[in-house]
This record gives sequence, C-alpha cells and structure tokens, in this order.
Amino acid sequence: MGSTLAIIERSHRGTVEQQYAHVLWLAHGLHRQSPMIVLLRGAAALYSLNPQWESPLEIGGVPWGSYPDYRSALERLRVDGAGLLVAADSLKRLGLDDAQLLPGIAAVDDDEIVRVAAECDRIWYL
Amino acid sequence: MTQASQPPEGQRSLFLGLIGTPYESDLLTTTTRLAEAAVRQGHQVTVWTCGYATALTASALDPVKPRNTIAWDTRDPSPAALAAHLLEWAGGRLAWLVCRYCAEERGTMDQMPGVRIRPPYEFVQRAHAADACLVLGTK
Repeated sequence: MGSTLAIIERSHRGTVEQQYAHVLWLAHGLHRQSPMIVLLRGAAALYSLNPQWESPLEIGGVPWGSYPDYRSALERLRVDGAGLLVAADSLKRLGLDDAQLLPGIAAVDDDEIVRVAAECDRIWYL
Repeated sequence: MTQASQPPEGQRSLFLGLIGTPYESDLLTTTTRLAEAAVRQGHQVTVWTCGYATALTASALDPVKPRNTIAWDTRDPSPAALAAHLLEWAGGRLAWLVCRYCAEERGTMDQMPGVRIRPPYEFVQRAHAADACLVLGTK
C-alpha cells in the first residue's frame, strides 16, 4: 500500500465546534489505516511551530470543552511513523522562516514537495 | 451555574449575525466570545444564525460530541450544548434566533428549546434596531 500525501492548508476551523476532532486528529486516524505524509501549507504551517498550550476557553463562567491540541496530534503522527512536512515558502510568507519547528517536522521547498508528491500514490487535500 | 450579573445603567443592544458556516472557521468561537463578553458587561445580545449555522442548535443534536476514539472516557460538549449553556447563563439577556428561510432550506426547522425561528426580513430590522451590529460572514 503506497503513501498518501495529505495537504493541509486551512487552519483554525472552529475551536468550539471541533475541539478534539480537528484535521490533524483526522489525519492520525487515517494514518493508522494507511500511511500518510502530512504537508502543512498556508496558514496551517502555524501548526508546525511550538505553541504555548492553551487551556479550554472560558465561556459563560465555565471552561468549555477542550482546546484543539494540534501539537499532541502531530506528536502522535510522528511517533506512529507519519511523514511530517511544512512548506518553507509558507513559513517565509508568515515571517516564520527562522522559527523553531516541532520535533520531526521538516521544512521543504517547492521542488521537494513535487518530489514527495510524485512518490505518493494519492494526494488529498484535507 | 452562576448567571450573569444584573444589567447596569447604560445597557445597550448588540446584534451578532452569524452567517459563516460552522466547522470551517472560528466565526462561531468569535461570536460566542463576543456575546459572552457583552452579556457580562450588562448588554442585551441577539445572535442571529443563517445558512448552516442554523444547524448548530437543531433539536436532534446531542449535548455531547461523538466519542473521541483515543480518549474514550472523555465527553466533550457539542455546539448545541454551548448555545444552551449561554442562553441559561445569560438569564434573558441573550436571544438566539434562527432564520426561517435558511432553516427550511436546510431541514433544521426543529430547534432546541430557547432558540426561536424568525422570518428572514427581521434580520435587517433587528440589525438596524440594535445599538451595535456585527455580521460575521464569509469572504
């Protein structure tokens, strides 16, 4: 079974709606069934950084649900052997090309993205 | 649950139009946080949902999200529960309204208690009548 390149470009798709069920949680679930290489591009390149942990939002006087934990999802993907890439061009556009990435995530240029894509059997936009 | 405090002098009205689709952006998060902050400051808030935002408060929804396969014993609240929580907490200073046209078209006419379905022409009427209005749509 060949790999699937999962391209994630959009970030922050509903904090109070999604909570744990965000796109990287989905990618990990898919990876457990079939090998995935995750490429973060656009605003989703922010997921490759090391954000400060966010506790649940307080809404109406109580902590509400759980805050999407992108960092842990990326760590689960890494531990389970998924490829983790971030587009260097996206980081540059965000002014983050010097930022420290989370462990196991590699910044790749466009030529490398094309090479990886050519080696994958499927390309999905998640 | 502690309800919001009594309204002070100078109470104003805020109309929040939620048109953007849920699960696509943080518009619902922004809307609820704005509504909560306004109620906390003693103002009267109306949330008006259009499009698929009308499905957020459909009566068929559970108060909890489906189970997380990697944290089976943890139950997270659903957006429907969030709306119910805010309505109760606000103690009458929050109205959650649903556009009838959008609800009919999307099969979301059965709404949870406390949420009211209103005719679409009231959108502009209520928006204009409010002291402050913010419409959160797509772009």
